[in-house]
Amino acid sequence: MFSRDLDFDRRFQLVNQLWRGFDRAFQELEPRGAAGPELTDDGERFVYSADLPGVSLEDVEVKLAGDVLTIAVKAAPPKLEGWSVHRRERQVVSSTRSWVLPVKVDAAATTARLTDGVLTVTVPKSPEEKPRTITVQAS
Amino acid sequence: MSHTVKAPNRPEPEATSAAQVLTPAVDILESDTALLVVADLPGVPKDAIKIDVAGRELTLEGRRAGESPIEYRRSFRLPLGVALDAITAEHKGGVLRLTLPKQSAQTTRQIPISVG
Repeated sequence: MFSRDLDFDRRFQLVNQLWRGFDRAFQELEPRGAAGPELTDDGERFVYSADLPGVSLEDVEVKLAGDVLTIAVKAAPPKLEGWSVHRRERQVVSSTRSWVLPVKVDAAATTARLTDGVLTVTVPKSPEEKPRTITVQAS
Repeated sequence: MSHTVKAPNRPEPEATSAAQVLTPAVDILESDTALLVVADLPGVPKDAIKIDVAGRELTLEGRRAGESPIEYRRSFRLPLGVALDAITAEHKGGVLRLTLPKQSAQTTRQIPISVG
């Protein structure tokens, strides 16, 4: 009985290995053009960046309401009339995401920029929230 | 006309540069007069894009600078009937559009049989 269970396990191990191999093979083949959106905090400011190839300026909306940053992307589907499709890998992404920023920010100094299909939104923190270095005094 | 599109190239290990090699997503469309290859190359400026045609092999390359640089690379085998010298490229908003016109003069020719 015991040995039979072992056999069973071994068989599953093989299957698992096989699947792992498949996963790896497909991961390598999968086109990975765009990086996912990222919100980082460098101490002085929050920086949001996302790859939006082919998305035009008017399809992006950046809103800052108090401490809530909202980024909405409305991507128009491509026009394909008159074309037959051989391959379609490029994804049309429409999304709306909001973040509650953990500290007070300077809304007036916030900038958004779309360059070569990359959206970068920079939200500076309020002066009182910026990191301060405290001098250690000898007593 | 048959079209063979090669599977995306496996990233090749690069000893000289630390850039990560990625396969860009593409759309391939065809009309009566042309093939259209649309590739997403976010963050790649126009000057950092290279398009090469060697024989019937078309290679796209784009370098994205930054803290962790990315090298986009992809090759395609072009079908017969593409006018290689008439390929045009357009770059906008991180998207590269390649138009590959088909050779127009594909008129049928009758071959007379001479009586021997």
